[in-house]
Amino acid sequence: MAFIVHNWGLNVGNVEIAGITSSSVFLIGDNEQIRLNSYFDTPAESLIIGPFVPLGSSVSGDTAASVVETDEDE
Amino acid sequence: MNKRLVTLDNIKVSDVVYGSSFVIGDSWRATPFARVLAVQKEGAWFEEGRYKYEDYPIFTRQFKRLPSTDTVEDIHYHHNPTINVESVRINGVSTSSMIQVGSLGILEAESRVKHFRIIQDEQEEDFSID
Repeated sequence: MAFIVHNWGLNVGNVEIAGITSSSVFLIGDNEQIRLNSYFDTPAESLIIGPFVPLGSSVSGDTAASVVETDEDE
Repeated sequence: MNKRLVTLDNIKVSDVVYGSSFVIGDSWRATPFARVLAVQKEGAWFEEGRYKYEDYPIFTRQFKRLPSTDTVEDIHYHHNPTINVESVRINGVSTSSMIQVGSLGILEAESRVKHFRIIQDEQEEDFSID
């Protein structure tokens, strides 16, 4: 298989970001490989404020189903 | 792959904390990591050395690796040699994260954060049986 990319041009205006946390990256440039891992453990009753979005709790059932599949594969 | 140049007129970053970095220029490989014991405790006493990384498996357990896939031959044609950005404004970067203006070969970042809530009265009440 041949994977060919044409980067004709990239022009960006203004970028505003509140926070980049827990093994995240904001990159302006080219890259070959990125691997980001994070474990986060907090008491169940604690108040969570911030960008930690619980996975698999989206409105549609599709996301929940795909999460279960991933677990079975491992 | 050939890496493009970046032209950036203006950048403002307010906070870079806990094993994070802000890089201007190209780099080959970056492997930031952070281990955090975040203790929120009722009362004014904090004992030093009370919490140890070894006591919690979150700091030793392995991260799951994605299964390796077949390699794909890729060709990138950069018809414009620069990436142009006018301005960037970032409040904070934290816990083994990264901001880079320029090209990056490999990035492998790890973070492990364990939170504690220690409340004096409620803990004592939990042990009593009505």
